[in-house]
Amino acid sequence: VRVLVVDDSAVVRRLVTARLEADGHEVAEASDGMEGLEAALADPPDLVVLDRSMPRMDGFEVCTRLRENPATADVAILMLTDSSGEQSLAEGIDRGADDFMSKPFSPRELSLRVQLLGTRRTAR
Amino acid sequence: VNRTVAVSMLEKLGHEVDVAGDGQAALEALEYSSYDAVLMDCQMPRLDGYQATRELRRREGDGRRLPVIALTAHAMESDRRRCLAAGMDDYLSKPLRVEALRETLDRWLPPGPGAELDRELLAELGDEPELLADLVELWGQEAHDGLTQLARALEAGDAEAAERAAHKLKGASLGVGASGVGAVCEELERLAAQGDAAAASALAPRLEEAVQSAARELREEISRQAASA
Repeated sequence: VRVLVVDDSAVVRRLVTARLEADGHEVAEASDGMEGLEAALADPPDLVVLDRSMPRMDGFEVCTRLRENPATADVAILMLTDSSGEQSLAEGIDRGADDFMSKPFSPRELSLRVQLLGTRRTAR
Repeated sequence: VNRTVAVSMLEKLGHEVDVAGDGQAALEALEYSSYDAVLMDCQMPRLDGYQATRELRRREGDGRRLPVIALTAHAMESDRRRCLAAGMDDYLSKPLRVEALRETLDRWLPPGPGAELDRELLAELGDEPELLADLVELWGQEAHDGLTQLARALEAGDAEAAERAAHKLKGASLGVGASGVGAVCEELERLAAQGDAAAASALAPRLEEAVQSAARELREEISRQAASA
């Protein structure tokens, strides 16, 4: 699975990338929403791991823009939220995210969710 | 039998344990070594738990008060009162359960090293000491930048920028297992979101301390993992 990780924290990017590369996925990184959107549009991945709160453009906005563009409308989106609050869940669903994990998350769980989302997506 | 059970539970919880066979022996041990807490059986030969605790409190005078947790065969309110009257701080009824023991000790023991870390995450990262070392290094840089940004924002009275800085540091800290730092960040973020820059500023020194102690504990964690890998 080709994955794009979008998070403004280098720690979180490293954690996610290390895990997903160990699982055999191909991973690219972006350090804020704007950069993430540009990277996704330039070379659409199978899946985007997307942080909710970021400078320049937040995860919700990135989500909307990805869904609007035919090149990325089908990309799987796994959002990282910082609370399991219903409000961000509702907004994320509304914006077109496919799955959610709240921080702190378990790398092992991330691995399973990416596998699930990725195989569904690539089977289409 | 009870003593063996208690000792093995305490050791499982990561504590160092010395055993005294009765109240008299307990008082002698307390003279010669220093402890963080005493689990005191109420029914013992020679000197029972109540008498031993009274004597301990007399010797302590106005000095440091050692937490004494009673072990009693009964769970009645009158037993509890009797324990507290003898100078004990808390009580556990037998048979001893490990959960109750842990909760009670948590109330009375100072937080030990590593208490501020996310054990679950660190256990998951346990088979990759190099990754953890990497994460800690990246986090150290982010924490440094975050504290600087936060100080600048608070100085300028910019609550929104303070909120963003605290939020980002929270995410990074949770990613490396520094949950204690994450908790302080969250509180700071909440205060800043309410526009309470004064309260947020008051919390800033605690955040700095939390970062320093987490950095220390994470470094220790790395050496532990490297040693066992």
